[in-house]
Amino acid sequence: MRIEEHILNLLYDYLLGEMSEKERLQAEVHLQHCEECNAECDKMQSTLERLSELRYAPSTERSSEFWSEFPIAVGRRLQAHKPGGRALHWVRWWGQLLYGSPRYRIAGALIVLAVGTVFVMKWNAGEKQISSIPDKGKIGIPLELVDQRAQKYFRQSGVLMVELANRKHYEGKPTDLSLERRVSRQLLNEARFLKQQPLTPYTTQLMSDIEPVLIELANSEHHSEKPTVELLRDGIFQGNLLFKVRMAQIAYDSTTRMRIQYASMKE
Amino acid sequence: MTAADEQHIIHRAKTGDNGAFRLLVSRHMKQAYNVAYSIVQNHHEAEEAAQDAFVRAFRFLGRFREDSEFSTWLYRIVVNVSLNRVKKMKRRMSRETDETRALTSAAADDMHTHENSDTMQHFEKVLHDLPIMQRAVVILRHLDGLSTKQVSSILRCSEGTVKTHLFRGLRNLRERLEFIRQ
Repeated sequence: MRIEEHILNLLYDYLLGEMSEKERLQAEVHLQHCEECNAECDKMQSTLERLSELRYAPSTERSSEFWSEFPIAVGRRLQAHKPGGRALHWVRWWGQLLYGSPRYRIAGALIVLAVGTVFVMKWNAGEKQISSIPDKGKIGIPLELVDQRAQKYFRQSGVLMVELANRKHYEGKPTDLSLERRVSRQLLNEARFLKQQPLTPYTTQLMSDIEPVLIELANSEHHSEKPTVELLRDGIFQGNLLFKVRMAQIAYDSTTRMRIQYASMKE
Repeated sequence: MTAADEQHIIHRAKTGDNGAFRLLVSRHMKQAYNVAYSIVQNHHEAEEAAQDAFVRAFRFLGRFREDSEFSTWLYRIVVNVSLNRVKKMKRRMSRETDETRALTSAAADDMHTHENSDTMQHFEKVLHDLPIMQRAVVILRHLDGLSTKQVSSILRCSEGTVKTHLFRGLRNLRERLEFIRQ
């Protein structure tokens, strides 16, 4: 049977003489009657005696030169730890913002808040830029610029559709379409602007063909299930959109090239 | 050096007097080294831990409220630094490849056999194989001769907890020795 821990703690106090006279007398009375505690006390006594024989001091294994050098080494370390004395001092300074006193933590939180505000403001400015594309009625846009934007529109649409056509779907795992959704919204905005420009009927028709796919994608869930991805893929293949978009890209590439050649000849 | 002398030196060190702090280092370095060694079990690491602890002590000397002994406050820093070093050492060890580990354990076995030839060395090895807290309290209390109250203050725990660790440490020590004898 094992003796309870609090009794053993009392035995330990008894052996080291760390108890009052009254407690000591009570312990002695108990030890006269209890064989288990008596045996435990003897064993503990012999362990303590062996420990007292050990009295090992590792410092004695080091030479006197080592000890005379020790305070100097500490002094050198102190010099190295002085502010600016170490290249990594700034790392510790930044660490204070996360793990330091409350004052440092508040300062860290304020810095994060300020950086976050600037980031959100920049982000909103970018959104406004996309939604405030000037139309032809208000600002006359050079035809070259319209062609360049149409070229970019078809190039991005092409990349998006190729990506969707090749997207693998794993059973039971929803597909993350967050990036595609963002791009499709930007392309829809761009198409709205381009449709108000003097484009060829073929280009306008192709944009109208691509539009349902982009709308479906823009309205899909962040993490779509297989049917949504399949639906989008069917839309791309049924309308033969990959081929048509590729053709439009080539047409706009050559138009832009011809315009550049014409402009250089004029000069 | 009397307690009043030490208090005066501490006051001077608090004002940034490097000479005074050097005196404190000279006075406590061996004991700090022993405390560090009891935890890290390695001369090189003990040296690093002790020096690092003195640097920290100098930096945070302003926070020493003098309601306890300077040595108790210093050993608390030494224990914290040493425990951190042990954690780092364990992380380093876990990155060791199996091959290196096999070589190390073979070397340790050789050492073990050699150490068995000397009873006291063997006792010491068993002591150093104890769990870290048990080992630290047994060494601080019984080899370094600190009181239970001092040990509890250094390890920032109650005297009851220190006694429990001490008791478990002593019992483990005895049981391991008995097991080997059989």
